[in-house]
Amino acid sequence: MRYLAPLAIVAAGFVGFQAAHSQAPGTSKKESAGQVAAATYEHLATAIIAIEATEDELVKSILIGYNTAAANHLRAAARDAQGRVGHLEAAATEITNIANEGDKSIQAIRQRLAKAGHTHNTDAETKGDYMFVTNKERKGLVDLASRVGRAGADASEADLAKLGAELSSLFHAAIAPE
Amino acid sequence: MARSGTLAALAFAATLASCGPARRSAEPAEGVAGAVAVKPGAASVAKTASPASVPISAEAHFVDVAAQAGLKTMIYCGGADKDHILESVGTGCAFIDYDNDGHLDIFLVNSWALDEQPSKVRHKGRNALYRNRGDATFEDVTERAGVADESWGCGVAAGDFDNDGRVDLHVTNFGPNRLYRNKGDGTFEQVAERAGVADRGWGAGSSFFDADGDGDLDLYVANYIDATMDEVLAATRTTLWREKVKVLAGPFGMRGGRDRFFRNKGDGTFEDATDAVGMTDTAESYGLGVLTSDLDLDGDIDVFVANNSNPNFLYRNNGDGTFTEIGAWSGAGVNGNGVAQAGMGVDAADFDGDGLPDICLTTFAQDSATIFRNEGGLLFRDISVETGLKGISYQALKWGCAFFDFDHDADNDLVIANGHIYPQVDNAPELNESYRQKSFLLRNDGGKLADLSGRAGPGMTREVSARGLAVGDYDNDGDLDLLITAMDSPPLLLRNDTPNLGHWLKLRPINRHGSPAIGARVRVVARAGEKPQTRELRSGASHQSQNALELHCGLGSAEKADTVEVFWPGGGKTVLRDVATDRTLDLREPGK
Repeated sequence: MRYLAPLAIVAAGFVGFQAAHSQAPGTSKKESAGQVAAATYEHLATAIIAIEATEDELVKSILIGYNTAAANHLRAAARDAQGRVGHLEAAATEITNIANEGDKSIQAIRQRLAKAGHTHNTDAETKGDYMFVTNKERKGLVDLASRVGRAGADASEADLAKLGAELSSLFHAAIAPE
Repeated sequence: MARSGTLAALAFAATLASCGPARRSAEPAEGVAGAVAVKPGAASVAKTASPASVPISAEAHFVDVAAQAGLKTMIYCGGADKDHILESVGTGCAFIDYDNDGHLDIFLVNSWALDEQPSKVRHKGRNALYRNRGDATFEDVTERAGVADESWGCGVAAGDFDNDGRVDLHVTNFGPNRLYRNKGDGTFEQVAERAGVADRGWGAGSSFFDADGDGDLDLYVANYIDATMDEVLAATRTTLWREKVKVLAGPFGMRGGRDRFFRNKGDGTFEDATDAVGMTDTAESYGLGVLTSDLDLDGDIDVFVANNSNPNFLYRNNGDGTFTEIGAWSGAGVNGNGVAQAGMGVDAADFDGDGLPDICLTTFAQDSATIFRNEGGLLFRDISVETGLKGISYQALKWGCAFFDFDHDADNDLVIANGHIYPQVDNAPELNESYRQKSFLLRNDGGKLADLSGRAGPGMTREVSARGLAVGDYDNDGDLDLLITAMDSPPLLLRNDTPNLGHWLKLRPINRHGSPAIGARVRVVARAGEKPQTRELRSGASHQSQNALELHCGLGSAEKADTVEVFWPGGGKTVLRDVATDRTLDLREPGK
């Protein structure tokens, strides 16, 4: 989210500048007030769209973080027999975070944004798809998380490698452009 | 984490010693110690020699006797149009034996009536306590007992938080919650502030349970939404339901309330230990139902929270009083399609007879209620389709729920209370929905659910917008009756008049303090070699409600139970053998 704040400030400043500029003496007499307003709104629209694109990228980076963490835990589970169950459960949690496009903290942020009318990143009333993860992909990821979580202390290296490969496949399908 | 420490098994002689003198339920003696009730007429019912697990032929029959029993309190919940989500959730109810006379009393949670246009408070409904006179009728003792609170009430849970041998009540509110300490003389003292549990959020489900095994009851409270009464009064209907009618908004777009865990300090007060034990509700989820149960049978109590539209929480007890939230990947966080449901009520019991408690979750309309089959190790699988629950429940809007053996055929049937939250659906017949709905009575036929609702007597065909539901044997005839709260209506008391029932046992595990042993588990084997039935004594469940603190087992044709094992919360175990059926047993935890 820290990328969004400066962008919003720059956008707001730019809009403010445009508004002030339109009122300043010496403004071209050829531009009507309506044109100035439209241009100002155009800049605001550009900023809004840019912010949404930034949000897309931010969420994607968050998902990449979960995926990396999940893969790391799966690898650690393979080499650490003692801590295997803990790593598997941690991997399952991270995979679920991918499925839900965020952990519980992110869900709370989405709810707050939804209250403000911003539903770009939430399935809100529709229970539809998130930004990247479709309902079908979500089910696949939740299933995988469940299997990883229950793989248990006796899971073999081959089992874990297979789960890792499945994660990679599901994850890259999810974040690929539709 | 498993606790060891099995106490000595007791023989039949010990059984007798523990049971005390017999008495007929129609002739109650003072005090419950050693109470034994005999179901009138039970002996005259012809039984086959079938195994206990074979269903006894019983036609379900429930009759609403609330009015004749004296339950007349009007339960309010907002205005007629239900403009704000606060006006939609309704209130809970409880079967409790507050005066310890062996007869179940009734506690009803109440909220307020609102006027529309202009929106204002018309009437503040008061909670109600009804004392069971012992003849299956009730007297209103609300004022005398000191529980006539006028808060906007939501839910109720029971438990003896101060270990004085008397059952106390925790009442959640839209606003500060209440804790009523039972003084033992028929009155209560409101001590929430002093005890540190007067949480100011919008409380929903709550439950007492011993999280850390220290012998006193801690408290979990689910908070639903952050809102103010000004917002409630100013609310307008802005959501378009199924493209037809304008209805109240939410919960999406509203800020969820953070759930709380209060650790009992052992001196009658609590401390907020939510973060310390790992229960930080960072999602600010819309919490409603709370189930505290030893779901992995490892000797400590886990916590399941039904969240409305967010993934459910499943807090695994780490055995040291801390918890790890594993709902998302346990299989019980979301349904089988990976979708977070609008979770409302919750209950758990061994539905499929494998010894593990399965979870029932009720949900919004146009979605299935869900049974999460417990596959061991806190892993669950959605079996709503294969049990037939999806087909039965999809259309209804579902709230209170309970597993119970209504026909004594030695399995767990299911009851679900239904009612829409949008009165406006009645204005659009093409939606094929109604604000007032029938409840579901679902018989367990070997793991498939048969919908008996339409042929289970006049009580089950009552159409109301139901919310809370509690199960208990208020008339002490040995079968389980139902208490249901409904929106802007008096409660329903559905007496179970099902004929030709099988045998039964009612067990009251009592801890060393003389209070209901919350967290105790019993395992009953009707005949040697048959599958055991398990039951667990819990505080709070269903939708913001409290079932009777008694454990009921239907036993089919078995005239005695081969074994009754009691697993005490502290780790001990008591075994009774050759236990005669059709009676109520007080099971006392042995001293150390």
